[in-house]
Amino acid sequence: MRKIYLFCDAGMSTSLLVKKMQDVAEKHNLSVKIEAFPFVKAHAIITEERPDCILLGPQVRFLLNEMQEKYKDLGMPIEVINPVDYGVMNGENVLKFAIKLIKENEKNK
Amino acid sequence: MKNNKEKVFAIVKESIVNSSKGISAGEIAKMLNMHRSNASSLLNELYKEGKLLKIRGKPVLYTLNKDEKRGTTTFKTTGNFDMLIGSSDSLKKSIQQAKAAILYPPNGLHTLILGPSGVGKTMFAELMFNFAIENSTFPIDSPFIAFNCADYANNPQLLLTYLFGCKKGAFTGADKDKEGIVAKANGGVLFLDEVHRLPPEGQEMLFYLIDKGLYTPLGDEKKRESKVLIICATTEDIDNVLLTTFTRRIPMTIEIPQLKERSLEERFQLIYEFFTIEAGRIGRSIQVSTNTMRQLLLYECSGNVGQLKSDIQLGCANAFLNSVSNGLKNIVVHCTDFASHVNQGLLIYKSHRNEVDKLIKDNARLEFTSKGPKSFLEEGDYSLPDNFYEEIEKRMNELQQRDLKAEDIRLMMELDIENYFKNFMRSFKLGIHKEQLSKIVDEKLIDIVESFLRDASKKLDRIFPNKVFYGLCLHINGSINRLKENKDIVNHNLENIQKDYGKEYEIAEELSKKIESNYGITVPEDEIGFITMFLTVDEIENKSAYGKPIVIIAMHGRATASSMAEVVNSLVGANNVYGYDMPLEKSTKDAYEELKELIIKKEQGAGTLLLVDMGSLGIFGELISRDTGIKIKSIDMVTTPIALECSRKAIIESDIEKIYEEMLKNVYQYTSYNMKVREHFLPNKENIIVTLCTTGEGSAIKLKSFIESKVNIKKHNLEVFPMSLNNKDHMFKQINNISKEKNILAIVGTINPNIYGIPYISTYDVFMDNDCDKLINIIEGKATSSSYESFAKALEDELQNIDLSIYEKIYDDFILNIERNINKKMSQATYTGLKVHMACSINNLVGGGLSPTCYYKDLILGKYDKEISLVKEVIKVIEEYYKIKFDIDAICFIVRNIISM
Repeated sequence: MRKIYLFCDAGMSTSLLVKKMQDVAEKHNLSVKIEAFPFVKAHAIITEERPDCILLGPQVRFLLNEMQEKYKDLGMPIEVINPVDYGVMNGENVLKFAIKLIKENEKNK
Repeated sequence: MKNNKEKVFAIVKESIVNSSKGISAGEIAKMLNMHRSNASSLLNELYKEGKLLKIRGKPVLYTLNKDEKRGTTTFKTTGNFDMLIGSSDSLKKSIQQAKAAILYPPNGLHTLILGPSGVGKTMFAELMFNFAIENSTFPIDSPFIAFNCADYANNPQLLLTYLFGCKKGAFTGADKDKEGIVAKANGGVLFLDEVHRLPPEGQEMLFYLIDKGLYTPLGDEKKRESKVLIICATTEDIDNVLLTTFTRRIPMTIEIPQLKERSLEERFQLIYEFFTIEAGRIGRSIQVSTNTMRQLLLYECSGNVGQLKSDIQLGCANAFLNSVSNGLKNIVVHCTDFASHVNQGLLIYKSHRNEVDKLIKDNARLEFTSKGPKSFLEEGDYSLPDNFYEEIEKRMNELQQRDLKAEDIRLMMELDIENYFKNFMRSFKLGIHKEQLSKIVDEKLIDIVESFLRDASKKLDRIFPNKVFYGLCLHINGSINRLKENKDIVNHNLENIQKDYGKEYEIAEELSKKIESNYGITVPEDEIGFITMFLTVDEIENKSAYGKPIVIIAMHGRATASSMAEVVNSLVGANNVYGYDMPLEKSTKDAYEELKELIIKKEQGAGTLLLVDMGSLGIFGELISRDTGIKIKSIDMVTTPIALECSRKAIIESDIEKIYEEMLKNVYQYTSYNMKVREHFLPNKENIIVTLCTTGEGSAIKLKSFIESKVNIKKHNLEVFPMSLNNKDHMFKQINNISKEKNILAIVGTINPNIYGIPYISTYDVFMDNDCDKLINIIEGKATSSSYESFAKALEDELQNIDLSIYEKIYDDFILNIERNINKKMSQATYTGLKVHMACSINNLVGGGLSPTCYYKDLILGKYDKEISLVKEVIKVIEEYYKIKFDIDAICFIVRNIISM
């Protein structure tokens, strides 16, 4: 079971996207756990649960560098969701993106 | 207690006393009671360190390297050809020849090694011997006897005696029989260095040895037998100093390249190697400054590798002395520790920047230990502007303490200041947030810099990357603090700056006046010089990144162009000419693509001179230039002298326009056959949209036609100009050029080039947004963000409390209002993210829910009160429409997103 966790400031808008992504995952029988959290919980959740992929809402893109730096050693991909996909809540694209990141990351290991 | 490796080594050492066969991994494993594979890997390590030789066969046998046998304690020996620096490059041919000479049955070929002094002829001969042992051309215990014929050169008698031996009573003083080295070398290799010092008689005696395997000691009647492989070496021209009868008998001649014929990369590796050796010798790690590496790479080293080695030794010795006498912990080698002829290398650094900087990253101070180099970045955090000066000051003091001439200090500081500056600017590459900026820099200053840049932009007809804005803000902030504390500001580059960038300097003075009146301080000229550097940042950064123009000859026929290019390259020697052959049967279309590809591949960022013969080739230059944005000048009368002239000019002059104009003046005076040549690669229309693509190929052009199909080009007097992003500096310069005369409305592309004052739209957005609203809005001067048709649809299920299509309009108004008030455009990401966030927020509030707590409230309250009150004000419209109230947490969320953009 892969864990894909989404973060934004309030954890509100990303949770909408999570729902869309889950729909797609179910349709394709993918065993993934997708969840959204407010950014303030990020540290605790990331260090405890070690998700396989972390996505940030585009509005908190300014946190990306800091996050990538901070969790470099944990070795999970951290990226920002494409704003276009975000704007139209394209769960399929975002899920694909996340899976691609996970695969690439595992290949590089 | 010895470790296993030492034990293994000791056993190999013992083994050569008892047997002459070498020892296998299996035997060693048995003796040490370890696993065979462990023994084998230890042996391999020793082999790689050059301590052992490996004799091919089954099983593989190991024996001591000659150097180790003699007991000379070098720290790292080169044991075989493959370990040689350049073995797969400049020395490849020599090594192949050497191997061939050794392996030739039955006992190898006599060999003559050529090369000026210091290229490593002796070492090469030793490696040949090692190779011979490893391949069982000779048995392990066979001798390698080296002799320098210069040793007894003024006494031929003695020399011959030494070589061939003598009989008791052969001459006065010959009081006993003496064996010569020819006898000693029997069954092995005789290496004769400086063989040109061997007198003709000696050469004749060697012939006999070579031909018959026989020789006669002086005064003896009996011929004796000796089977030796002769390797000789000379620095001289063989035709002049050796008898032809001698050279004829030496079948193999191997030339070893001089240091200057070898690549900079190899020289770099050699320098690495030598510092590593010195570190081992001193037994401490050595730090080496960047300038040291630069000068070592570039100085005229006539004594080749040997001299390079001893120069490095001398430098290390001085640094060692310095560290000992000053009680310093580290040994730091500075460029001033070297002899003055080495320092000359720095003088030519400016003209070799490109190649050198590829090898030495700015500021990467290197540290060598006996185990090898490790590089580390020089300490110093360039993100804080104060250090900019501190670094310079530190460096100045350092140089002054070394009692250098003022002139030398100046030269070095000139280089350094540019480096510090480049580093400083580089730290902004990743981008900085205004939020962060306003934490450090006060807002008045930000305003001053902003309006100054806008002004400068107009006056200089130049665009500035965002980093100039950030850099300048931080820099001036630091300067002001410094000036308030009455610290000095020194700019050693001032004179050059004033001379080269007079106009920018004048404009920089305006900023300094503004600062003076606002902060009540006096800004010295030196500081104005620094400000000027920011305005010329492109030029400064480009100076190193810029290549020279190239010349491409494109002609009809199978090999006409390429053979002309070959002639020109070998005559001028610049290797900047490339040929493109267009066989008659080739279709124009294919030829076009191929030529374009060639130009893109070879282009160095300074443009291409295209020499063509006739027909379609004549217009290709113009078309390719338009397609790719590469500056191309076509000359349609190609002859070898013209090509020669172009090649020659392209080495000296980097401005292709100048070359072109000069060529026209010289060549076209007498020609009437003058095709229309594109004068400028500037677009014709007033308003420009630039399309950018990274590949430098089709997609910028595709984008162009897409935009043209969507936008009324005529109405807006608009031209879409495709450009490649192959070379970022090139692109900046080009956009710069266009913006001087034209009005760039927007940049569309896959990557945001972050150019100050020009809006950017991503390719994705343009294709997604069917009507190109965003672009059209920009063109029509109402720069607003686009809306996604499907936004409302996508979220209608989730957010049922509000009508999303109405919300979208309200949201757009809201953003527009914010943008107008803070005078800044919101990024696409923030725009979209916030859009979804606020939709959720409103939906929640309308449904009677509460806003989640904003944990950043404390960070924002009190610090961004201006923004908070702005959002509170602007959001009222939304509050009234939905009859809701945003509490302070909700406001803080929004503010946080807005300040981050």
